[in-house]
Amino acid sequence: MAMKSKLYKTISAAVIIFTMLFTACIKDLDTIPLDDDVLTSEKIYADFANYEKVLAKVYAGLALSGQRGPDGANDLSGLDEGFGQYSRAFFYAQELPTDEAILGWNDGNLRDYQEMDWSASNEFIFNMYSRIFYQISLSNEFIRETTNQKLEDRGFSDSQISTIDLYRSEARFLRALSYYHALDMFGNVPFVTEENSVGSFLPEQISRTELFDYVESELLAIEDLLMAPKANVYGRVDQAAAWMLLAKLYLNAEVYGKTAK
Amino acid sequence: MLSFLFLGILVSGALIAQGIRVTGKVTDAADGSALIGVTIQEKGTTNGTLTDVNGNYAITVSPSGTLVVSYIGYKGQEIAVNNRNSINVSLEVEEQLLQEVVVIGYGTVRKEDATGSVKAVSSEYFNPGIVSSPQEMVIGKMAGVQITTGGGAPGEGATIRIRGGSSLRASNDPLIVIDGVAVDTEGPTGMRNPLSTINPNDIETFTVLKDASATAIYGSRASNGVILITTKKGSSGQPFTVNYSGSVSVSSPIKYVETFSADEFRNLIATKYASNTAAQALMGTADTDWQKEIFRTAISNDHNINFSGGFAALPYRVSIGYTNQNGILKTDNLQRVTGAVNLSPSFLDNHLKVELNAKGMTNNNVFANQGAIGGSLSMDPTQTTDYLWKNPDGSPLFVAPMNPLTQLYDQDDISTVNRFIGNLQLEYKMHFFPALKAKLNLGLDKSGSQGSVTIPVGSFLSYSTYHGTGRDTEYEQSKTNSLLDFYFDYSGEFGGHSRINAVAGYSWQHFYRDGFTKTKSIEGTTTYEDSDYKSENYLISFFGRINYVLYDKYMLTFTLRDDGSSRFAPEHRWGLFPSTAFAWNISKEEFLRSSAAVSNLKLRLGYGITGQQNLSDNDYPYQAIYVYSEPGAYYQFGNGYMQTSRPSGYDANLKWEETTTYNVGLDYGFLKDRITGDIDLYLRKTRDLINQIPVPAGTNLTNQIVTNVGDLENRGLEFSINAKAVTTPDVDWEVGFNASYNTNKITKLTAVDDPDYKGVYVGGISGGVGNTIQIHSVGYPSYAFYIMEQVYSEDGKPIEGLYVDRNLDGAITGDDRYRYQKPAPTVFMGFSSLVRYKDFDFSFNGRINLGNYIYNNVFSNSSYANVAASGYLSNRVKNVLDTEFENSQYFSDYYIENGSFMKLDNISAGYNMNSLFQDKLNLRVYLTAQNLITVTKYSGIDPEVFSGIDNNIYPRPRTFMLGLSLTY
Repeated sequence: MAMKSKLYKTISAAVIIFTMLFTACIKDLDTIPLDDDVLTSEKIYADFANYEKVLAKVYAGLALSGQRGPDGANDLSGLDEGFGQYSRAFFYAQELPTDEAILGWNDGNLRDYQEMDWSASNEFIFNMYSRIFYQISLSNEFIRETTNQKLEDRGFSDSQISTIDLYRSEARFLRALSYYHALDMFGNVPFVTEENSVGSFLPEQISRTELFDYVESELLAIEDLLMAPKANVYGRVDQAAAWMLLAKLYLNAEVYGKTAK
Repeated sequence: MLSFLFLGILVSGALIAQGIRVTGKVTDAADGSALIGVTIQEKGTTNGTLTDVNGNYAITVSPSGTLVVSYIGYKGQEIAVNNRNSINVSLEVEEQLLQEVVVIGYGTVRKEDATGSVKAVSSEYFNPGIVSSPQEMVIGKMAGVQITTGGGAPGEGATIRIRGGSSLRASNDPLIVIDGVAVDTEGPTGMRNPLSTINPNDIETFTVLKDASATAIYGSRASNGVILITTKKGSSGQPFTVNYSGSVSVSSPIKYVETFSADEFRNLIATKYASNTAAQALMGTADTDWQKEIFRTAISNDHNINFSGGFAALPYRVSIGYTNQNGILKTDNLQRVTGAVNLSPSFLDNHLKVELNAKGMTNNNVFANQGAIGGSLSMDPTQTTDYLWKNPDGSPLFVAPMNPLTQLYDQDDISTVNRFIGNLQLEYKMHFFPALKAKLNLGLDKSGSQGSVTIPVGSFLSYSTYHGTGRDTEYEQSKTNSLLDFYFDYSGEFGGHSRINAVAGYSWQHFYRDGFTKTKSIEGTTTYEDSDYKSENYLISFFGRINYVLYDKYMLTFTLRDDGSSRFAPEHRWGLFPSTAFAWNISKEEFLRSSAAVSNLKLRLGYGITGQQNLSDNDYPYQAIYVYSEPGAYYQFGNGYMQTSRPSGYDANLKWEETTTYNVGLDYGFLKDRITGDIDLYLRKTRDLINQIPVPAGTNLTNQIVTNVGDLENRGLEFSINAKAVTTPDVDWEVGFNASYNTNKITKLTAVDDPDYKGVYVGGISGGVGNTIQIHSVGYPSYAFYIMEQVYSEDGKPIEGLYVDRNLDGAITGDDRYRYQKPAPTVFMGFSSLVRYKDFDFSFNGRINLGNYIYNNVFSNSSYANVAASGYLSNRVKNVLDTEFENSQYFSDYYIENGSFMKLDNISAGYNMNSLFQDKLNLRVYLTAQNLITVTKYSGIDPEVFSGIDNNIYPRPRTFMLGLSLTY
């Protein structure tokens, strides 16, 4: 009898200990980043100071290749980080097929630009395309996270919200700029906005003329939301930038399948 | 072992003064068959003999003496002569041997009862002469296990592939479990080989679990097989033993790449560039063989001492080792001190068994700058050894080849790594129910690395990066991986015909690492890099296994494992991995039981699923996370620089990659297991491959995402045979051979069928920026070469820039590339031989690889481009004389070569002096030569290139070692 009750006690103690142990341990699987430089989306947008940093990344997408200088922590993958930078890729695509520049290194299919025999598998062209849409994704993410509803829910003051609204308009400009590059260089492209969520889906294709209308409407919509010419700090856009892009769009309207403006 | 048994008779022939002649026959008690070579010895003397081929013997002994009859694998007997002239003996098989166990996950199983494909290699069969890289001890020893060293640097790591790789983006390395601690295969930074934490002298066995029924118990980390390493232990009742072993070895390069000699180079410049007066003026008058300048003959030494025994009820083993290994590349050095303690006491009348394993290591490295190997091929041989290419103003000429000696001596790259691997295992046999054991295993794998790379101020080395300010890089890393296993183990017998062993438990693993890298100028004024990291992940598992054995003939195993990984979202976190296996011991059936020829025949059928989640570079791939930029990557707003915050791409639906394995195997043993071996046939299908693929434009926050897309399969056949070819008292000869065939094919890569999708570009080469030579694509093996088909002239020379227009579009573009061969061997074999003659032993081990292809990047970099460039000259590999290429043609299939080879990895000869000083001291001396012969058609230095891209790999040296082992 004594033996039995001892056995019973041992088993029940074991059961209790293990239930506690397992439950506690399973919670271990819920991890969040430990690194001070890596934060979840929620934490980032809870702090007003981070909005300017995320906006800075949208701008930096045009100039920097990643999060470490001079290289490392690349934004994109699949191509050498240096080649992958936005304005370098843009320069290659715009200039190398012309007689204004020559680049004769033996790097992958780089010479296709000069020899005018590139194909869909040319990694430099694919990279330009990736950079444009990466830039659009970055802008979409910021725009998606800065709706008035979300900002109010996060409890920001009115003045903070109006500052973030300006950031948002600038991000819309940057998105329009990259869509303009897509329209200019690629024509009928996938169309993704802040309405789409982050994932992996097959986006709708938009025609060149529809994209023209979209870029135009965006620029017209933000024209009055941006700062007056020369009023913004160095490195950020103002109304003049929107006018410049509108001018480029209108000048080439016929090329893009629209009537001359 | 054998030599000890034969000890007594080796000094036979001693005369017996007075005695009687005894004759008789020795037979197997089970079947009455004659036993050949049984030792018959007169007790207390050196007088002995052996049975002949009919099992008969004759010996003259004292009429009142005692015969000691002994035979491997059988119980010995002592028989009093009592004046008899005829004594027949029948020997019984040693039960102990039947009960030989093999280590499997969370326990052991009787070898007879094993249902999975499990292969163990014990220390007596290890490759000799290995001091710092344990993996090398079993190279070529097991079918289906391919081990390729990364090169010839001291303590260099090795890549292990079991049955081909089942993953693409995730790790293909097997899980390594050392005495019950599943270690981090990635290892600490600043260390060449994570496994060199273990001193090869301390290792008792390597056990490889190959098929899913064997590995599934390790479900979450077992897709690429499991290697269990067991270290040596003391045993209770063992007398105190001290063993010292030491060796000295001499390594030297075997072969050099053929470049232009100084005179040939002068001739080349004078003729080919005759009109280039600037180039003529740059030529020097020296005669420097840069390859001979950077390499050396390296001397290394290794010492180990261990103590073992059973002190009262406490079996123990303690060992200390010191290794000082020099590389053949100048400055390269590894120093290592290892210590291991193993205690295995029992308490409570053997109800509580405790096993404590602790292994510590401290490792100091000097990493030679391996850039010098490539540098030595292009540096102008007409210049003196201190020559540096300069601009007219005396500043460094960046584009010119760097003096390889400057590369070696100006860069000081050192590290110190400390690592501890240990565990405490408690096994409690229930007092009230001894068939049930509770086991607790607490393990810890902790390491700390510190390292620095410095280049002095003003050095020409890396001048373009550091602007002459010098370089001062410091890095540190600390890793703590902990493990808790708790499980119950039940063993029972029922009705005399069935046995059950059941295991059920829980495992918890935590992996934590942090570290930083800082690069500044030597003066500290400029910061080039300042980055740090801190990350962790967890694995939690519930597992169970049942082994059921009926009539010792039919065996059934079920395992089930439920694994949770913190790397996946809660809804995709858990993966269930089942396996089942059936084995039939045919040799135990009536119709075979009495067969003299067949001693073992076992059929094994296995099926199981294992999982993979090892994305070593990202612990949070399913979460929306933002990463701040580091200093140096800020963006200018106004007059200040703004840190940026980048949203990372992610896949919230990322989940387990699953590999299903089917295995059919046959274990065999003939002639009382004088010939043993196995045959295995397998199919491994991986689905939901964790793969990095382009994401539809604009849909994610990156252009390529890590997600579950794609399937691949490996099919293969393995065969092994080991034979005791000769077993006589004086000569004993064992031979082994194994062969493996594996084909690997990617069967799916995209979520939706896209005929235009070429695949995942991999295999970066040296030459150009971002050039890749391999591809993962559907219908082909992984890492297939992706190249252009060269057109040759009538005299067989490749025509520069002319390729076959394979897509017939009238233009030669990247779209004309085709997929050709792969770096992995189709067939690989290992062979070994071990002969013992009296006190001498002689062994050799070798390998054959067939169908492994190599891209000769050393050759493809050799064209006439920039030989006589503006302001400098640069040497070339003489292959350019064959191609006459003016510009490098990196993508030409001319550079893809068949790397099939036969290597004689090592030859060793030893002499044993046993029973010195009244049996108290055993001495062994041996001489080992490693990397002796390579037979291949490959034109490069060494055809053993795991990646298939031969780009100035650190040459594997030829090493001669003299070793000594003393046991007291």
